[in-house]
Amino acid sequence: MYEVSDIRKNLKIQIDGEPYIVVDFQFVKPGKGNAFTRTRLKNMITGNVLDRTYKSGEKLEPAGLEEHPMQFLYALEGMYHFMNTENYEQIAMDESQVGDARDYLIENLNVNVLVFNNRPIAINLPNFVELEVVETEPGFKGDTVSGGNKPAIMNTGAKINVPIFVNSGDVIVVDTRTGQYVERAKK
Amino acid sequence: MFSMSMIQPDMHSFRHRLLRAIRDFFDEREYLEVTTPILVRCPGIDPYIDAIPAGENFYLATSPELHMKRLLGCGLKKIYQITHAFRAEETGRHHNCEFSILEWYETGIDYQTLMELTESFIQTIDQKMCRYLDRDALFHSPFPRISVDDAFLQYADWQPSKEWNEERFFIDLIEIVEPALKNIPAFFLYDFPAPLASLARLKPEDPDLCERFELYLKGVEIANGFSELTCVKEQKERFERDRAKRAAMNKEPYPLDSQFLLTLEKGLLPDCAGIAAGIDRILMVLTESSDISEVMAFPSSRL
Repeated sequence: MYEVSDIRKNLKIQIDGEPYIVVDFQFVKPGKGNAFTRTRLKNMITGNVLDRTYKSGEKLEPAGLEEHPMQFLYALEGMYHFMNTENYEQIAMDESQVGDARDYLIENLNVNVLVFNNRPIAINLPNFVELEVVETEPGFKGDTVSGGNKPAIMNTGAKINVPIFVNSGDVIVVDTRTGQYVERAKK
Repeated sequence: MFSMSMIQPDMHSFRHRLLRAIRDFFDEREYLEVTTPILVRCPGIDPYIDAIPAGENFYLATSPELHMKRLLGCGLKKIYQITHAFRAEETGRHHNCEFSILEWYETGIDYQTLMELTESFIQTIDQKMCRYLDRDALFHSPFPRISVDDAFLQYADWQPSKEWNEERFFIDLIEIVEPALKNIPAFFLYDFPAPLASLARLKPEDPDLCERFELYLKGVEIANGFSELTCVKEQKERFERDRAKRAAMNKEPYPLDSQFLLTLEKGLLPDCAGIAAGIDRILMVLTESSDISEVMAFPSSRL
């Protein structure tokens, strides 16, 4: 169990069976009164924000979170299938559990899956992934300097703005934290 | 690792100016600046204030209050002190376990007069500091005075002095009442419920209340003042009650200050009022800083 004095940003705790992360906290102690710690908590599954005040002496339950290295296998009928690369067990996650990560899930991609009480709740992607452009307006051959972007659709279905010179069939590097084009992949 | 002071260089001179302004204010009013010990035997008995032990039978002072009142018992009439106080495990945006405290006491006045004096004190130092801080004054008279019962009735829908519930009181204070009032630049919250009297006198016309107030500036609690309790019997009862409360919380009960109680018993403490203010917090508010560590050269996080 955590003590109130353990509270700090990014501490992960469990309330009513749900995992929360501390996004902000403040020590308060009114004159002639007990000490309190006011916290702002974010539900790690729903993203809902909750304000909660803890009295000194209260206990907080740590969120039993584990991170497992997994490889993305395939998507079928709205389910995303992964294999744990340590014990080869397979798990499936639905659209809501995968969230925005679906834009970057290409076959055999290695990711870390955050598991709470045996339930996968989030995917930590590598910072950069290589995606193939499947659809975009043709570019001008040789034009690698002029500015300007155009939309492109990737092999995962993701829409990414790419420079004019990128063509269908090109493989590009995308930053998963910002969703932005970085460069053309080295061949 | 080499630890250097991380605050902006001007902050050192702002603090210097503030201390100057404080001393000028009290010198002009013929107060005596006094010195009381930091190393004490009886750190005061408050259920929620824990002293830092300093060797066998000694503690670092949590406030100079009891010694200053003993000086009033020796015949001094108007005294002030700028010193350091220490409170265990208080660290946060508005707390540092060692902090600068200003206390002043005047005989022959009550908390109402003290509120007036406090208001002119804040205005005086605010106006003086404006010149160095290159801005307009932040605090203007009159500072609204809001009774605790009125504030709670208006925002939390209950009356603490008549339906006392300590836990509910503090939770509602920090979650509802203080946030509701935080846009008033300067105000007094006064007439606290009797169970929070500590060393304050109860109101003769309503013993469910005590003659105590808190000053808030920019939503930050700055100072706590009251008409002093001079009745030895009542003071002893309160000390014993607070010691029992500490014992029930598995906290050290701390010894009774017998010299202070003797001062009361001999009838040496005249009617008076006194106040404690956090100097770092005042500096924080005047310089519009949001964290106490921005105004201290070496807060506990950067020792």
